[in-house]
Amino acid sequence: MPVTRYGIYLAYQPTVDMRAEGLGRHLAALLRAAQRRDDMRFVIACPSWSRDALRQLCESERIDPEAFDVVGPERKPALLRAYEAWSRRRVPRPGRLRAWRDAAFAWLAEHANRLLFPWRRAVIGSRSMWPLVLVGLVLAALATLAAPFLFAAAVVRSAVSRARAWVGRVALRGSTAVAGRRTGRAARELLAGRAPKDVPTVVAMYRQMQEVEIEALHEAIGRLDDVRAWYCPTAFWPSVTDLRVPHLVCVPDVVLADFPATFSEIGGERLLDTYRQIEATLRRARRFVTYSEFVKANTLVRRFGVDPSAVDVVTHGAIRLDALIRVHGSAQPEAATDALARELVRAAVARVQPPLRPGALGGDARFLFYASQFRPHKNVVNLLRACAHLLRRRHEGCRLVLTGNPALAPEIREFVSRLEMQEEVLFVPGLSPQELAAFYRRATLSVNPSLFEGGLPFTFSESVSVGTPVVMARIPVTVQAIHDDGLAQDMLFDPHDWRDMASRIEWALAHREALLARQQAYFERAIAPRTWAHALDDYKRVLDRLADAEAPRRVA
Amino acid sequence: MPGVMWLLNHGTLRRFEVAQLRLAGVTRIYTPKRFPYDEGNLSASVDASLDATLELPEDDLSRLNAQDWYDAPDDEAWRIANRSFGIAFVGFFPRQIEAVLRHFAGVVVIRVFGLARGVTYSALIREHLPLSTRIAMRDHARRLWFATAYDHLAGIEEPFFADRACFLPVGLSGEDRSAEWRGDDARVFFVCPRIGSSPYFRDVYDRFRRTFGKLPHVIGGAQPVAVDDPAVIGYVPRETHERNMRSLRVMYYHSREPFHVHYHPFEAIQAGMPLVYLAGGILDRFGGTAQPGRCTGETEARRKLERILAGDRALIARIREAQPALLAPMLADNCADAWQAGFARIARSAEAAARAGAPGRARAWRIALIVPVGYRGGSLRGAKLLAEAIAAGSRAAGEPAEVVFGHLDDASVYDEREFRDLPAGVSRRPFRWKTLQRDEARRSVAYAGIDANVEAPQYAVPDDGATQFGDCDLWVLVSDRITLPLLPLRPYVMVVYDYLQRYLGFLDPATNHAFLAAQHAAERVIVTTQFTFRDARDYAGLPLARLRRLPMLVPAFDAAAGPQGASEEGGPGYFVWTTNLALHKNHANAAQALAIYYDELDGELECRVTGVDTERLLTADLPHLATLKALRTRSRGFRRRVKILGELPDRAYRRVLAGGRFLWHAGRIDNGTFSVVEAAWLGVPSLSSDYPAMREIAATNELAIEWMASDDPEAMAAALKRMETQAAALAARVPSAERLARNGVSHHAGAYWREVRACL
Repeated sequence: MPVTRYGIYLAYQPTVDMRAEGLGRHLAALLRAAQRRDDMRFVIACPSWSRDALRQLCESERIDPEAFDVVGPERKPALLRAYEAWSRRRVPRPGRLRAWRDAAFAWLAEHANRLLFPWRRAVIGSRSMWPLVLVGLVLAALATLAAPFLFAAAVVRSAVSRARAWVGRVALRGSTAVAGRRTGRAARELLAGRAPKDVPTVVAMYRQMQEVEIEALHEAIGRLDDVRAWYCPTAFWPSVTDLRVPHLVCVPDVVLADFPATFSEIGGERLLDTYRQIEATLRRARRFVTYSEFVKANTLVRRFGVDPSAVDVVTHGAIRLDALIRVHGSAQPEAATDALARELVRAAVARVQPPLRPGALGGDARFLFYASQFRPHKNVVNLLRACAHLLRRRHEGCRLVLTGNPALAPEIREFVSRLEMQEEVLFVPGLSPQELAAFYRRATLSVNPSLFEGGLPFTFSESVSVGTPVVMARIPVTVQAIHDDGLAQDMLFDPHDWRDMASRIEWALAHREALLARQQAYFERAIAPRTWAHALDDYKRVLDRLADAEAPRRVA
Repeated sequence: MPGVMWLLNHGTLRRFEVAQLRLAGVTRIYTPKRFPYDEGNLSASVDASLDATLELPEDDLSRLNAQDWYDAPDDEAWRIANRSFGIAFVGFFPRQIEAVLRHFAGVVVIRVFGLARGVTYSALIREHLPLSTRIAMRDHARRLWFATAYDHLAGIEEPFFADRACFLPVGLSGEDRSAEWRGDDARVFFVCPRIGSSPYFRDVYDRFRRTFGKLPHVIGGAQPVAVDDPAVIGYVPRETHERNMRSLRVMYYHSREPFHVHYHPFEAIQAGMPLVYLAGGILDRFGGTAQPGRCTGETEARRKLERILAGDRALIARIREAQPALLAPMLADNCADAWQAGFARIARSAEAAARAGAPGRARAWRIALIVPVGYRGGSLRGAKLLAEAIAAGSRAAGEPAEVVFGHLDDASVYDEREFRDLPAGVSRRPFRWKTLQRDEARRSVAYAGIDANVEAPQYAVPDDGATQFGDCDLWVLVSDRITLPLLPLRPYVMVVYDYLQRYLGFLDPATNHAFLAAQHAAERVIVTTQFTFRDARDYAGLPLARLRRLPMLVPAFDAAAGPQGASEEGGPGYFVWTTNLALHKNHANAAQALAIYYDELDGELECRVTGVDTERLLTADLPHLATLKALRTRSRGFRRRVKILGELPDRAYRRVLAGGRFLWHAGRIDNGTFSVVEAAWLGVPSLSSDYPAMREIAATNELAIEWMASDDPEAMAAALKRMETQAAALAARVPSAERLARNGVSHHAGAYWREVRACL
């Protein structure tokens, strides 16, 4: 069967971990669906610095890296390599050298002890003074011999330390003199531990580095005649519109436009810059795809004036997590699955730093689960309010487990403290897909209070597929996806009203099994039949149509 | 020869060991019919064929077969086991070891098969077995064996293990089929089970894929969680497995573990398949370092695998010719002598144990009931009831225990009169908390002969001036209010009444974590309401296996204390507000409600306040009492009609309570208060805050209670006003003394003793 190649265009900035990005998971779902087909194959064009992230994504999502091709520059820019080497040095690593040294010393000490033991015993037990005198003399001689070496070692150590500090200062001054005051300041800020993305000069330098990288990337793409069309999974990268080959830009959403005031408080000018990039992409690209009719109508067409005929809608396939933890071949598969999930959760909780208190999430504990990064529209604050209300007023004591990283959202941690809920809320960032499945499985109830999503939140299929019911925000995409009015009534709440959220949660906890049964039936009937293979078919169809439409122009 | 309970389910091991047991003259062998549904238990199977040899009555056999011998078989099953068998083989499963040591009177053989490098059984025992089991191990050392699968396992263990080690080699049954091997399928056979469910095997799999993934290969081993890799064949029927063993070209074995080896390399050798393996593992002990299939690293292994896949007949022949030496120590015939010698030692100890008979106890069980802080009032009454329940329960079970009631040796908290009502059979022992530094604690546990990790900087021990309660077999702590870890001298049970910190946020994290850590170190945690049970599970994170909910013990109050529902002095009467100085008593809202009741609603009834420390209600310097003090100054009604009686002697309290129109419980949240039950004994109804634990108490005792919201002073005041007219009707619905007595000590003592007994 002839194999048609389609391209995926990525232009992430350095240091992005695709595993933690919704886009990464979307990409993984498409790649996984494609690897089962023998009529199509993806080629991914990406900057040199994204290759590692891509490999990590494949490992985490269990995608065969042989199932797709990668093009683009292979070697990272020297400046980036230097920065990475420097940041690696900053992170304290468990010193393998030190471990070896300690082990060697321990070995030496043990053997020396063993060798000396009979002698020492003889000396200690001796009734004559001579052995003591002899040992004293030997020790004194050894000390005399060693003293100059020890002194020299101390002097050298001190000199090396001073020299290193001096070289650092000179290098800083030199860089300031040569590259200018701004560069010098940027270097100092980096050295002080500030994130590169928050240092404007570094961001500007990165832009230049990216331009060079993108040029190389486009050259590589230009050499691929057999790729029918290119798919860019986000609108963050206007450079995709420079391609002289058919390309389709996916716009999952533009949440900055939907929550302007909230986002204005975070991310500063960098986020404004991102917004400008999205605007540029929307202005310059010719074909778009998005996940829901709502985003098409309200965001692309109404807000950004995109021609509706230029936008296709491809809805998600169901993301099932059950295959990751469902145990087969046991006499009691449900109990065995629970046991596995419990173990995975235990291991993930044990990994959290700083270590949590004893029983922070007991193996039998009930908890609410919200898997999401922390973004303003994710509505975590209202969820926290609802949980505090449930605990203190309704005496409903389910803990809350969040997968967002509080280090990246200090305002969330602050709010938790304000509500005095530090002991009630658990943060477990960085879960693998299997651990995520395990948390869903062990959760008493999943909650998704997000104020906005481009498509039906993954939460529904992820949670219900492993046997946990879910309550969600009543937002356009959920209302569109849940056609069963009775079910919608029971599982959706007003995300702006934390009391309504709390009351839905309380109801769902009290009617857990009944809700789950209905959601599972609905899932199997209305959600699960559409797999990522179907979604991939749709993307392929859109890309083929685009390629056919642009073929005459390319010939011309 | 005594009968043997072989309480494991590993199929290959069972075939070999059952044959060896028979060779040793054991005719009666019992094997379990249920095993954990743990997905890791992949080689487990059930064999009922031995049941016929047991000569057990049908009912007894059914009872044994119904048990989960990996968890907690019932007492009757243990009685049958003790009657019928003298030796029990178990795996290194903490719950199984715990149960068998506690209940089985014969010799216990713990089968051990080696661990990963750097991990020892001695350390695992300390880490995973509860203190009571470790003490039982020490006490029953003479009838305990660690049966090691390899003779060098004991070499890295600590003396207790090494002294009880007995070499019982693992042997491989089955015949030599090497002549049938063809090797016409030019692929590497790699066995890696549980890829999707075990991080260890996931790493092994990833490493194999990285290093050898480009070589044609098949990955065998059961996969409980599906793996999306066509090379992974998962579980296959026996015929397919045998065909694979005949046709696949070569097996690769990855493990370099010096103390553990899998079965499949030996199966390959039996099947005649060349085995390429890494040096440094246990196979080096079996076959030396000159084996042609041995590789010092993955590079060499890859080179050899490539040569074999390419059809290097000379190499294949050399490996096949030499590798039977690896199998030799595992062959049943070669293991038999060592196995029989090892088992003979076990059998001798079993005979000695049988001759000695069941170990009798030199004295009755002695249980220390320790009240860690200066509780008075209802909490102290609850502790006394608990002591009474344990004593009464043990007597009823025919094994009367001594109960020692430990309380703080602090004259400012307790005077002698407090303990006059201690029940018969309960002695009293004052103590002070003593703090030991880590080194002192380490020495203490060493002197006590206890194997425990002593890692905290400080430990607490209740110092009675003599043995620090070391003469008691078990400590029962009434509440978790312990800020330092308890010195692990004795196992302890903890009674936890509530998790108020969750709702009122008054504990600093360090103290809270210390309390919770103390619970996690307990053998059992006992709670008395479903509400607290949920908090213990969800908030404290206690495992259900160690958490027990027992009925709340209700004090018996005699009703001969005066007329009910009428004031002694005549007039409109009064109600009784029982409280203390604690934060959860909700003083601010209660005071506001009283002010509204008197100043706005023209409340007629007087309020009489009593309870521990209530005489300091207006003087204590506590922030949460500020509102109450301020309102007293502002509200004339409050000043005139609220009478603070302070803490009353028991008889006086009963008299006051019996004379009240109703009892007012205005607390915000807790584990419920006995005071409403005490009121009911005296025929007095209650007006109570509405929260889950109080609802439970009301339902359990069928109490007549009027409910109010504790966070709304207006509603509280309205409820007080309503009670002026409704109290009499409510009083008519107060349950009878007989009904209340159903939750008395005598009814629930058995349940309390059973939980305590389970930890002895």
